[in-house]
Amino acid sequence: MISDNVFSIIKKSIRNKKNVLLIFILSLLILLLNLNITFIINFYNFFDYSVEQNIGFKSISTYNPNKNLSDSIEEVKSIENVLEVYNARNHTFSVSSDLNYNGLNGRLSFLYGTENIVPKSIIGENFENIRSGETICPYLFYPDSSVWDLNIDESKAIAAEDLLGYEFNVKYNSYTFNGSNMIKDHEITKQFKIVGFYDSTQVMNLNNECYITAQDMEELQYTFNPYIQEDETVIPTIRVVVDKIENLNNVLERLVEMGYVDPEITATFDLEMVNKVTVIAIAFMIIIISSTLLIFINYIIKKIKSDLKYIGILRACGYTKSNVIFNNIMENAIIVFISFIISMLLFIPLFYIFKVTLLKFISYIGYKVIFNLKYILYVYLFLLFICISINGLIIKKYANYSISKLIKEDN
Amino acid sequence: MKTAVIKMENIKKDYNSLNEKIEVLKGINFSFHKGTLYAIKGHSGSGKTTLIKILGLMDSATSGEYYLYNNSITSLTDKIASFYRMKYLGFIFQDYNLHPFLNACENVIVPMIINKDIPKKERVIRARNLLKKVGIDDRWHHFPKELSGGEQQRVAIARALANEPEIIIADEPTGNLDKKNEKVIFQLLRNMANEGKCIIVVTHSDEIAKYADKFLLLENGLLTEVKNDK
Ligand SMILES: Nc1ncnc2c1ncn2[C@@H]1O[C@H](COP(=O)(O)OP(=O)(O)OP(=O)(O)O)[C@@H](O)[C@H]1O
Ligand SMILES: [Mg+2]
Repeated sequence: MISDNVFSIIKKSIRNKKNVLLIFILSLLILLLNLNITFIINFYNFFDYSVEQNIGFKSISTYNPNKNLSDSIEEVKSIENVLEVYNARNHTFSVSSDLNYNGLNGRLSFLYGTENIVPKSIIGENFENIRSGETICPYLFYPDSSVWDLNIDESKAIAAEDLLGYEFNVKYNSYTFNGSNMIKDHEITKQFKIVGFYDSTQVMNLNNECYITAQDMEELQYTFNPYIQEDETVIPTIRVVVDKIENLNNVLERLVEMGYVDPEITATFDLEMVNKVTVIAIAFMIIIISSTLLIFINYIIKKIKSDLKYIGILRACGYTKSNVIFNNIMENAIIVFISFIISMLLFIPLFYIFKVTLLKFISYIGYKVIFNLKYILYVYLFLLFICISINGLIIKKYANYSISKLIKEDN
Repeated sequence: MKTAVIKMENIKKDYNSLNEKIEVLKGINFSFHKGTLYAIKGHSGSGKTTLIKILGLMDSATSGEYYLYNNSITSLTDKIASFYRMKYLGFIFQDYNLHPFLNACENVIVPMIINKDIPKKERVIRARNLLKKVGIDDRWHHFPKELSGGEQQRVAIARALANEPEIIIADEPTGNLDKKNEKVIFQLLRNMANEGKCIIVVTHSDEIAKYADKFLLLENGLLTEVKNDK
């Protein structure tokens, strides 16, 4: 009985052009809501993901004016939860290389590696087995300066299988200090051999970042600028890598206790920006939900009022008050449901276009744009629940009118 | 002897508007029987619609006894009153009030949807038969806006017959129609009375004289049977 009734309700709803307009408007609003929710989820997940994956969010840079570098490193290493400590200057070193295949310009960065911070290789040697002159590069290796803009043409990336064991040269300039300025002294060339590949997306590295041994990094930095390395007046900064984000504060406190100065977490999010975007996104969501409700309520009140005589006829035919209430709620819930289905049908291709084109670059740093149906469903069910409740309250009032009042009702 | 389907004993109805009490029905005593077409007349404001509403279980009397098939109906829950209306009573109003987005056949099916005694599969067949009975089966797929007033009223009559009630109550069913259509409607009501139904029609039209079995006059809150030529 119910299914037949529902079928007849759907027929009525679709034949009514005003309903079609309402469905159209609601679909667009729910589509916006879907986009909004997806944005919020991805916005937050992106932070969570970054913080979890990238070492920068778990590192502290600091120095102790009363201790030399090797003492500092030794001392800090013994703090609980500290994974690695090294001279902050050794963190990264940017060079140009002769890996200029496929039109790439060969720019790449070396990262300071130790077995504690380099992820396991997916091809070739793991970091603990590499020696001086060897390097571990990203699986989707893209030695080009455009990676800084997260702009990668995947077809140009160098296939790891072809490069394992490959030797390449890097070039950089050595500088000296003439008393007031740094001046270029000579060009240095050094050879490296690729012995393994790691998954850069796992640690949110760029696709041109290769790990080298501490010894090689030291050599590069020294030859790059021998003067600075030897300058006794420069207090070297250390970089402290903590195992988990939760332990950052403990380590920070310990460092301060031990006399370290200006400890700073090397990568953090601009909280003000995050808060602003959150407030805007939530305000937008509230606006969409309330306009959806306003439009819906306004529409059903108008419709019920113009249907009063017909409701009277139904009552005369033997429909009970609850039949009338049920039918009316069904009628409107179906509209909201159809709108939801249409919005999803529009949303899914839109989401994929969005994901594939606009946010494609995010995949190179390992973040995957997610489509979480669960939250969309929660918000939708909440909306449906509010719509049905309000609808119920309104129709209940009119269903309680006497039949004669309903039939007499002029409009 | 035909059985009384509705019996009214000393039915009174008052309306309280502001501080004033209006006594519209002052003690109606009457029995309605099957196979009879009753025509109720009375000047405007005499209480015809009020009486019809009580007859049709759409409103309750202030006092008095009402029997439907010998069952005393005093205070009814909405559910039971609705059930009686569905099962035993059919209504025809001056306005046809068809659903604009349902075609003729679907409009006739509307009352059947809540009737568990009519199997789903039979609904369309029944609706089409009823439309045939009122002479517009060829228009079954048309929507109300594609039908004339007379045709719409015939669909409304088919809808009133949907659950095969034995009592049909019509309040000025031809009020919006011309003479030609009026005759068609009255003839349909006549046919239904001939089939054994109890038909109660409120009308101002004298045309009814040719079709009705009994003529009732509502005057001063009382219902009396009068002669045809009155
Ligand atoms: N709900 C109500 N409240 C107060 N008074 C009412 C109500 N309904 C009807 N009346 C009054 O009761 C009287 C009878 O009304 P009713 O509608 O029954 O007349 P009627 O005979 O059907 O008239 P008409 O031929 O014009 O349709 C009128 O005086 C009317 O004003
Ligand atoms: Mg009247």
